Amino acid sequence: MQIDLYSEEEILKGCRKNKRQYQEILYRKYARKMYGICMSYAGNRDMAQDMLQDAFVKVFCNIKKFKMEGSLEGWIRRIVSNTAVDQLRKQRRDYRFIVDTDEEPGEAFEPDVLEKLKAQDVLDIVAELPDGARMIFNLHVLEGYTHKEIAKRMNISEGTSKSQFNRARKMLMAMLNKHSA
Amino acid sequence: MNFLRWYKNIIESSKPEPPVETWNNIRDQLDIDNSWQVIDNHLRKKRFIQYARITAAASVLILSISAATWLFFSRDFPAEDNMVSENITGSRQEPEQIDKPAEDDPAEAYREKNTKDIEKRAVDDNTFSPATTITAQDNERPIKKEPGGEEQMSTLKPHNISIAPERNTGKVNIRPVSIKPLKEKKKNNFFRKIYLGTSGQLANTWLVNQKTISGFKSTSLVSTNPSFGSNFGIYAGTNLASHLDLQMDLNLLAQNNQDYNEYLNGSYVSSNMKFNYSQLALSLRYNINSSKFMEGEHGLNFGPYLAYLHSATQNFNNETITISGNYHDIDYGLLLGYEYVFTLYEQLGLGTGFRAYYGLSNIYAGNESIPGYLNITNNASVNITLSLKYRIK
Repeated sequence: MQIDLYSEEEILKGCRKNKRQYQEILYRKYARKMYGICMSYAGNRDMAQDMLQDAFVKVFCNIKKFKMEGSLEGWIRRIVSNTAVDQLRKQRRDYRFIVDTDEEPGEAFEPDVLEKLKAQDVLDIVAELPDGARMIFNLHVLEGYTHKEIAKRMNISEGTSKSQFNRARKMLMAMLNKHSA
Repeated sequence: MNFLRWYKNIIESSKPEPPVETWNNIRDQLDIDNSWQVIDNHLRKKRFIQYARITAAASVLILSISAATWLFFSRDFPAEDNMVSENITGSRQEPEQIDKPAEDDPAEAYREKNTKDIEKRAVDDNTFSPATTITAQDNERPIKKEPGGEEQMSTLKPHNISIAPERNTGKVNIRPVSIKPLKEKKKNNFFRKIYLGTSGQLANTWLVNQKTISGFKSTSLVSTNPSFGSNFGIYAGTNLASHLDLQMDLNLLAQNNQDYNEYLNGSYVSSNMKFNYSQLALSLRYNINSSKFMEGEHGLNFGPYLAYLHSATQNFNNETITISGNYHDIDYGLLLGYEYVFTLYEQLGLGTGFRAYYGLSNIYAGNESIPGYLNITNNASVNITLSLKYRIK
């Protein structure tokens, strides 16, 4: 069990007073985890870095609004995912979706096959998905958004969200299967 | 194994190391944000001090003008009460002053005549007593007029007493009566006169903002210069009370300019900002007709104005750019003015005076570089006015 040098309350108190030391501590605490999430949304490192940067600036600017009602990590994560969606929308007015896929899910979801895959491999493979489909897949799996919420967030129909999610899942499985083979 | 759960776990546990410069960039961004915050707080404080100074100056100005007006014009009203009281006591009365009311009022003339007849008869009959009995308030408090008792008599107001020979006793009765001729006269006083005219103004204009103020400091790279514009328009008005008018001014052109000398792109240039407005003002005008000091009409105007921006341009190095997009279309504020009008010919008058305008709204809308709240700008001007006034009725 890891004991943090500073408690979450203490870090929050310092951040609310705009103390740089505490801001850096908070960043160091969550940056790696959030960077992984940014990578899954962004598809490339530069864009993921921009997302992380913007998201943490928003976190520090709005930290006075955070009430200790939910978890701090959940609050930061929500800001990160919202920033990711906003950045993708800014960069591309239209999302790219999977038109059709002939890829068949192979045996990639066998435990011994999946264990061979490293996180970076998965991130690289997921980056190959079209950005719209990747966004829907991540919002549903990582953030737990419903298709209705995703449709509203991305300004698409609920049916599109559902179909793109299924196609993305199939395509991802096929690609992982191919990679492990 | 559930593929989706596996995917979630592997992404959340991946924890790749973000590039080192990410934190440095975040820190720099926060420093910039903090700097803007500090600047904003500083500007807010300065703005408050500026508003306080302007409010204090305006209060002093209004109080001074009011006091001066009151002191000056209070001398125009003679002590009519004392004059009439003296007439009653008969000590220092002028024959013309006593006869005048009798000519105007037949009842007064009748009473005057009767009083004189009674006095004459009483003297003839040797029944006139030098100690005339005067009764006040239905004879409840008899006041004796002693030969040297003028002071007691002079305290009675002329409009509260009447002298009537009720009985031929040779005595004059004085009793209070209620007469309210002034109130009757005030009826139908509204819109009794209407006037209209045209006016031109030479305006010394200022854009009141941080740049202009800092331009007065010798250490600043920006130098603020006085700038001038002109206003032209028409006006009309009517009276609300004997001394109070309601006046509407429509300035078809109202210029507000500001000149600077400043560094732009590495060179020291003169820069001129020009704002062309149309302006509608509604003011209350307090009029005093003076016959002693500068014979004519003296008017004090105070009221709000509303202005619409037609064009805004900035000129430097003989290059003109349009800056309308950075400024709001509407401005509003207050005006304060003084005007002296003397009669040129019958109903036609020529007026001159000054007017001060101060905008209450921030005319700067902002752009991508500097948001509106960081460059709060108000219009202000002090104008010399020249007008032609025609009184219709």
